[in-house]
Amino acid sequence: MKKDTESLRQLYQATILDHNKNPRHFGVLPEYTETIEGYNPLCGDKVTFYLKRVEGKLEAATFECAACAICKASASMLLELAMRDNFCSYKELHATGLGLLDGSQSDAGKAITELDALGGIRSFPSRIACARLAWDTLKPD
Amino acid sequence: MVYKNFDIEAVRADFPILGRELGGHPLTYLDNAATAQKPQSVIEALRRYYAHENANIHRGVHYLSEHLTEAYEETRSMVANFIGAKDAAEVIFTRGATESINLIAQGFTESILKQGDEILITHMEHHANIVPWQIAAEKSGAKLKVVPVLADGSLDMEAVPALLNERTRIFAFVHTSNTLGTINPAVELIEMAHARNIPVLLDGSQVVPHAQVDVSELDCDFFVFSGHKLFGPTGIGVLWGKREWLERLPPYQSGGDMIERVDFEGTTFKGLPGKFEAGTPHIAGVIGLGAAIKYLKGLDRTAALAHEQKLLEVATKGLLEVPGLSIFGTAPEKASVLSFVIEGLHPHDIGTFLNADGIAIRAGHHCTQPLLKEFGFAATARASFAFYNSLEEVERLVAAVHKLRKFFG
Ligand SMILES: Cc1ncc(COP(=O)(O)O)c(C=O)c1O
Repeated sequence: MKKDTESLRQLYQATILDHNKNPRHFGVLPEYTETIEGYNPLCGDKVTFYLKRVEGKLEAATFECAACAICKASASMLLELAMRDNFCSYKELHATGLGLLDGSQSDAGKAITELDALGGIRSFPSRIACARLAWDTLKPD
Repeated sequence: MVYKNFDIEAVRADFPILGRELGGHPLTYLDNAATAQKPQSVIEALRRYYAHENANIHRGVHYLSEHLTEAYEETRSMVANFIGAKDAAEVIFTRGATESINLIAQGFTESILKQGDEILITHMEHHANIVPWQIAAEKSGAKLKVVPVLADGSLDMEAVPALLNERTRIFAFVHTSNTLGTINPAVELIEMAHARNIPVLLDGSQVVPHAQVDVSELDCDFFVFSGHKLFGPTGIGVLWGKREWLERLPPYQSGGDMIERVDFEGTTFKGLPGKFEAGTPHIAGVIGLGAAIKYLKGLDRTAALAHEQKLLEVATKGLLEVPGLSIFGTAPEKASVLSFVIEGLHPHDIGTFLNADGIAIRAGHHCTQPLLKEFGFAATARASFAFYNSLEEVERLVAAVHKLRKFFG
């Protein structure tokens, strides 16, 4: 593959650059009940999710990270979409996200086109782990 | 930049990979601290070995075996000569610096370390010179002590005397840091340790590719390096040790080649170097390492080093003009290793971006996590230069970093 500026643009699409600059649900959730941490020992990327559970059910979450743009944007996209319905259909969302990243799914479907940006990462094999970290950390119940 | 006796174009032509293209861009290989590229003469030596010379050594009466045993042992002498060792039997072939350090650390664990002893390392060590000592400490009940690093990336020399005490059994430190580029004052540190009768292990992985060393002058007790960072093959490395020390350590592995006589009543081991080379060694690796050393001998290394220092100077100056960029490791004595971070930009994104222009750098923790943590980084970007890198390549790096700064806004 020709890794020129064009494919870089594909990797760092407007969506990803935007989420990187203005991450959604970023910071510590004041009423969190637990935290969960993901770490990639290869590069040192770290993501922390602050979760609020009510009677065992996940209702809200925020995140913080010390990570690259891909990792941060991916976590931000995950939470933006999951928080739209307070994690009600998180299982499906999670499967779609991972499907895009491992190539078993080619697009995210109409409802969540934002996630299509994740597909562009697949042509950068060394960066898939960056995008996966958030998804591997915050698994559905 | 043309130095007398150092023609960069001619040198580059010796390394076939440097002529490669990557996605329409010339390859700009600036990850030399991770591993160096190989000259044609090394590649050819390996081909010749497999095509014409292959046999096992130290165990045949036929021509090929005798011939190769000779070549293998000649390389040992060549290595000894290359690092200024007087006795070739003190040169042990290993898989690399990592295995060399493990050999010493395990030997110390078995024969020397006791409860309450101390092992001294520094805060800028590669994991290869941390983890084996952590394990040694755990097994023996010894304590691991660490010399701090100052803000500019140089060693805190004032802290050293108090850390070298009557309980210290070994001082193991890196000659040249793979992350900071810092060149430690090895002679001074070795003298300090010897004044208290403490042996010194010097991790020479990052000095041999840049400068000529002389272990007799340095007077260290152990010296280790990897062949692949010295323009030779992977899987081969060197442990040099003073005879008195190597004789005190037990064998590292056991089996064929390292024995004198095997009897079910008991086995006697060979002397040096055989005692530490159990089994069929990496013969091809040794032959390749020999070719790499031969190549370096044909080079004016003083001029090569001056060229590298020029590259470092130009790169440092150029990168510092990038808004938000800072350099990690600014000690006065530095090898051509440049770690940097850019505000708001993760090193991985820097690495991916540069890769799109055919520029190979390292992004990560460089196997020095404790060092990075101390300075509050999870990762840095690192460009490391070899003598075959050109000023044009440095300019390409600087231009690409400017471009990425704009891209990410
Ligand atoms: C300073 C230093 N020590 C030790 C090592 C370990 O070398 P190897 O992985 O070849 O055994 C390295 C390589 O990265 C290094 O830079």
